[in-house]
Amino acid sequence: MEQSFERQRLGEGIFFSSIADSKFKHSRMTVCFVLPLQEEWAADLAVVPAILTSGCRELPSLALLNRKLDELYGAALSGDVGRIGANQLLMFTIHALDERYSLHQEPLGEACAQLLCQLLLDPKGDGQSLDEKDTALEKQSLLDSIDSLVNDKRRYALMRCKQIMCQGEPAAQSKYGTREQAQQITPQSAGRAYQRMLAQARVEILYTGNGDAQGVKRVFQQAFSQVERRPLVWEIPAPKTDAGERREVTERMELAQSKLVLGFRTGGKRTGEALAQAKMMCALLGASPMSRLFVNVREKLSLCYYCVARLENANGLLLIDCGIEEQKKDQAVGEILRQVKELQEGNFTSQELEQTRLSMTSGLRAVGDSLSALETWYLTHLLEGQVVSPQEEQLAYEAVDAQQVAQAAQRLQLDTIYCLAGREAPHGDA
Amino acid sequence: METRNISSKRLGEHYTVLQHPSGLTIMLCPMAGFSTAQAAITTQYGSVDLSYETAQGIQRSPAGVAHFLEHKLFESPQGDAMELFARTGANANAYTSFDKTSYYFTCTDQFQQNLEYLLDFVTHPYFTAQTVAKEQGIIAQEIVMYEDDPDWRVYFNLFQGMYHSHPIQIEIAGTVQSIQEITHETLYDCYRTFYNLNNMVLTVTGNFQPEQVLETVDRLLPPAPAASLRHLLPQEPASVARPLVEQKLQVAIPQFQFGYKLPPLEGKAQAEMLVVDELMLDLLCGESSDLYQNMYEQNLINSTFGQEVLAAPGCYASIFSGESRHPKEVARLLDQEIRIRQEQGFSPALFELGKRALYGRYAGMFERVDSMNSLLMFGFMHQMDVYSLLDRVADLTLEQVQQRLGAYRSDCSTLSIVWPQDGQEETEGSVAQHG
Repeated sequence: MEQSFERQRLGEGIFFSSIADSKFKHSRMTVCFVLPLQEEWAADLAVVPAILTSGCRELPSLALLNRKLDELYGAALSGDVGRIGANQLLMFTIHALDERYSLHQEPLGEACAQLLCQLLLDPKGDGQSLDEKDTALEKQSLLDSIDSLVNDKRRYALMRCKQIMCQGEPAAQSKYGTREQAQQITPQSAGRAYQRMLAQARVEILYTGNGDAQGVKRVFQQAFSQVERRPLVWEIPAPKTDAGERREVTERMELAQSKLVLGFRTGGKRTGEALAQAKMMCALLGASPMSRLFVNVREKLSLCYYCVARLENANGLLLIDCGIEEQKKDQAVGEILRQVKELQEGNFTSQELEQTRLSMTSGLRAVGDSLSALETWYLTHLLEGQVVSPQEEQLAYEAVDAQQVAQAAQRLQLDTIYCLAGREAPHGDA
Repeated sequence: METRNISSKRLGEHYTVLQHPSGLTIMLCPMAGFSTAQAAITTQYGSVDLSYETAQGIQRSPAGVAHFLEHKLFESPQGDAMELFARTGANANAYTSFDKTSYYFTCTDQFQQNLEYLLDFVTHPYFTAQTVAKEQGIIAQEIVMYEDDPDWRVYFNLFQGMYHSHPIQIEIAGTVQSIQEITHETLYDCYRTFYNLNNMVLTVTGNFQPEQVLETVDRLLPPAPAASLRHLLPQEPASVARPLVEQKLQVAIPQFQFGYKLPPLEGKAQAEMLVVDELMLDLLCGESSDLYQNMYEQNLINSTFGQEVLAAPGCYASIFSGESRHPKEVARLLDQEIRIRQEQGFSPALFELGKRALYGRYAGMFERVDSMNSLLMFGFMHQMDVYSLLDRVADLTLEQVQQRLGAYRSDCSTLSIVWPQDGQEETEGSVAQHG
């Protein structure tokens, strides 16, 4: 089922988009503040969503705020920090039951929008600084999040590979900022970051579902008309296009299974048809059910449980990762590179290409079946500067041919081989 | 064919349950407006089924067979079933849990073709010594991967503390040693026992035509032989085996799971108790509670804190989990709060709010193709109408919740902690400095 998409300007650099679809029992609204990811601001900005979603002047404690959410039929509130390429995103979301399904048909959409506006525009604190106690708590929480990146070894290895490979580029930076900066957070510095967010960020508000979008829009329009705006204009630096000298890095910690990551440069950020070609290539290589890496590295050689390729278009990167026994690392690297070469030489069947295409178009058709997938879809495209519906993107995939896939693969240049391994090097290892 | 229509006035929706002559139970819920369809075929065979009784007598199998079968069933002499699904663009996968193994696909196109693939590969096992040996390598890497996963470790360590002999404490995939004992004969034996259609359900949700399902099942599935199967579990005392289980791993902040072992229940009674416990746990330490706020403000817990109920054959436990530098203090406060609430009761106003929130969350489970499919499976395993869950929430009383709290005994709890490799462990009095 096709959704209708509408976008409207509410104020300077403030936009409201609604995606209407009647089949859901919930609705979802997100206010997303977009700023350049800059080292000096990253940590202070990263702590703001957590502080603002801890309470506001009218609901000053976590318990009171959550009781209000309970009253709204268990509406789920979240405040998150994210990133896309060189942009840092501060996101505030409420996911709530549609009034049609409430016990007494209460108008829940507007009530949720009002609550979100209160949290965003009427925080505790003195107007300059954010609340001292909340800041201290959420600063610790941010430090915990930074420290806990090591818990998930797979994600940690991917992050380390990018840090080593992309030193000095936005791709190496964390959406949380550095630990050192997080330690410097004060109620004043968080307050400055909050003011920056309100005045200078680009603001994208999205409403997805079947409720009263006009009513919700009016609440946001009214609330944001009180905000003094001086939106920033910034240029996104183009990612590096070429690989440097090939690096091979092994780091060790206490673990049972080694994590191998191969980092490639894709020749830069792509848009339109070229992006569709790069995505098809990545899927055929290692991101579809019968991908080359799944069939060969896992199924034929039994080297691992997973071996996956992912494209980070905004950073101009393609990363391949798998979990292996350390002594089989060379064998795994060899097989992965052999599969990349096969694609570069066009050694894949038309059946493989068609299967990949089907898997991708099927994925696109499924976007409309989930509120959060729809929201992510439109938000990502809004930030990339070109809104297309999933149906329109399907046409782009349908046009990709084998030669274009091979060309996209030919642009891959191996930059870094990273391995996170156990404390003990295997015998015979130099 | 026996057919029942189940509907919900609250949601304006319905599904159908059919008893097919093959022995298979079929549950169908077409959902208007959705593009995806999901079909799952599920057998009541999970990781805890290590001991069972058939017409041949009492049988035992090594740990990890249910999961091993899940990996191997996709294979046929012609190749891998994944390849077939790939031809239609469908996404096929499978999983093994404590009490079931499920094979499913989601697709937006060629539904009937995909359903044929699914029913065909699940009913045509093909195992050889070579293919079993190859899979041992892949599964061993899957098991080793979980050894480094602190979330997983702290969870299974909790069960090892809580249970004396119940197989829930063994990893779902088994151990690197136990999977070496599995041969193609073991797989065939267990397949014949547990993949009898009388022990299975087909659940279909989303964008499909019910007639397509019935036509395909009629064509592909002949009646299964009647079979007697009894799942056997060891006698498990009410007490816990160990109140504290600790391990060190490469983590930044200690992780904990704190669980109360409760008497096991079956079928509908289990499902109904889950609803009571979910609400009770929310009231006790959900984000709206005073206890949550206090622990959060003292930095004893962070936003990873949560609570859940685990129900499996012969097991029932309420579990609190998260990251904390003072997990023992968190466990102490939780237990203390349970004693206080046992004496003083919950506030009626907060009870009403909690109920409303739970109602909203439950209603959301009926709006997605995948979660609706899981709900149907849940309905099959618990022999109940799944819409009644929503009515159950709406009808809950404070007395029911209050009464349930009495079952939580301090001496039936276990705390599992994963400490950082080189960090300081919590010592007596360390919280005082902290607070």
